[in-house]
Amino acid sequence: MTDVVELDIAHLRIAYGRVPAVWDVSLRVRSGEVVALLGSNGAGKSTTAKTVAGILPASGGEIRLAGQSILNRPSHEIVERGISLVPEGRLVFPEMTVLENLQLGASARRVASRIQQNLDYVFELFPRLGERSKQNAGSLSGGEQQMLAIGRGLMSSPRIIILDEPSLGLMPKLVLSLFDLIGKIRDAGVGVLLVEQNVFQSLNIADRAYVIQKGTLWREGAGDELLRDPEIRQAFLGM
Amino acid sequence: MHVFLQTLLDGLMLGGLYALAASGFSLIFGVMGILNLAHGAFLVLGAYVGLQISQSLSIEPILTLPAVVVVLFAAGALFQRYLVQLTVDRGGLVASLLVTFGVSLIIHDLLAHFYGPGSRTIVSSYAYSRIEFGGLVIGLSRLVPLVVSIVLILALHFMLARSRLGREMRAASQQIVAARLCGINVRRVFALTFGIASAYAGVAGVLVGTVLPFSPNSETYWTISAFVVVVLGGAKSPAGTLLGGLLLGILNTMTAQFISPLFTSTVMFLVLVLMLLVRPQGILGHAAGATR
Ligand SMILES: Nc1ncnc2c1ncn2[C@@H]1O[C@H](COP(=O)(O)OP(=O)(O)OP(=O)(O)O)[C@@H](O)[C@H]1O
Ligand SMILES: [Mg+2]
Repeated sequence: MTDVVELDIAHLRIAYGRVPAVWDVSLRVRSGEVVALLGSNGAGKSTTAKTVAGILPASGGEIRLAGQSILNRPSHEIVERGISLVPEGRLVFPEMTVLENLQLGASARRVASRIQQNLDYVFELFPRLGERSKQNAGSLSGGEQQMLAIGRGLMSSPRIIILDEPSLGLMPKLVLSLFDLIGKIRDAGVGVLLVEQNVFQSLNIADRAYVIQKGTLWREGAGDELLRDPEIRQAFLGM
Repeated sequence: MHVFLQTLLDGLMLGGLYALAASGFSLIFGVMGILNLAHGAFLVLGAYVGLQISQSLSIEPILTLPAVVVVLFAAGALFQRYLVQLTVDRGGLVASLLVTFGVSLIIHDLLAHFYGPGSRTIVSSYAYSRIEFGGLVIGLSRLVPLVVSIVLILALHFMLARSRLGREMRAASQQIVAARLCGINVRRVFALTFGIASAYAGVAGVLVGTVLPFSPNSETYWTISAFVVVVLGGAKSPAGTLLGGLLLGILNTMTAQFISPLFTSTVMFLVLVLMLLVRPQGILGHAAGATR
């Protein structure tokens, strides 16, 4: 885990059928850093995330991981290469136990021998999940499901993890511990691409950030730099 | 009372077959949300493959099962991978109805071409052996299929509940996007699902052939009966399929005995409609519609 890998997205273009949603997005995430991806509703953040994960096809551009193209590769191959997406809306397996959900997160062959080790790590990050490991995921609270979704995403030992609105529906106290957790994941050497509505907190924790609007890259820079940008303050913080 | 008990017993025997015949149909519907209208055709295909092998090699029909499993598994997996999946990708689930229906017609025509449209039976060495106790009669030709059915349905249950593949099947059925994000090769899982389901249909076909006559036309009947079993028992568990099958078996023999053999299909259909109106989630309460 000492070598730095980079996710490199260049001039990505994505359409739903004939309707384009992402026109031109370029961004980079290195292992061991937090990169925020911001933008208003419908800007194309989730669309970008799904395409990186191989769930949606791109119609143009390039996506590379450690120099190798992963554009339009099947999703299981992308997980195998070390990218994990924690999707918007959690998408846990409702009729399976917490433990089964986590075990499924380690479906990649690459981590077959590391399942127990990764389980221990996730239960250490989220003791609550350990207590409820036999409970069906569908009966967890929203916040617990969010923890489960993140835990499941970590089970594949990703080198880059994409978190799509992880703070959605969490109470303020939990949002704070979430950002704590994101720091821990980064310190473990994982690259975090953080899609968030919580602009202030995201820019605070992020090493770098990108802002997209209507499917096009609008701003990029260091987190604190963007925090001081008047146009950004105007657009997202209302001040 | 004696007639009633004997009829009940006959119903259970027949019901084991219905359950096994429906288990693959139920598996495909539960995992993928697809109504495989070619299911009955695969079952009848299995019967002809078993007949062909047992006649050519002059072996006991039940010994053909391993070969039937291999042939039908391959046919089912290829069918899914190269036809069903492609149509679902392009035309959605409705298109899969058309494609599976079309394939059932093709299999029917091919069987009629090679084996003729007439009825066949598969004769086992134990076809006329029977066990008697307390005045009740159990034909071995019916007991063997019942036992094989229960064993295979239990195996399916444990595969789904315990094995890695079973867990992946359940994951794909509950949340397909999440399954893909977990690194599961969902296409592979779906092809295996179809392969296993078709192998089960093939085995059921051989067993059916040792009990009842079959012809290329039988495929419609076996698809519909699978449908009824799933409505009765729900599509989510092999246990539900077993229950649904046994109920259908009892229903059929009871109708034949106490109403008229002419009305078994009518009663089956009436019960189907009644169930859909009163308890669409199946007797065990698993919502078939909620699998998607
Ligand atoms: N399945 C879909 N079919 C058609 N259009 C879609 C689909 N999903 C998203 N879109 C459109 O693509 C655009 C980008 O959507 P996307 O979900 O990527 O936005 P987002 O930046 O994640 O927004 P939010 O902050 O609300 O989650 C939107 O205009 C949306 O309406
Ligand atoms: Mg979104």
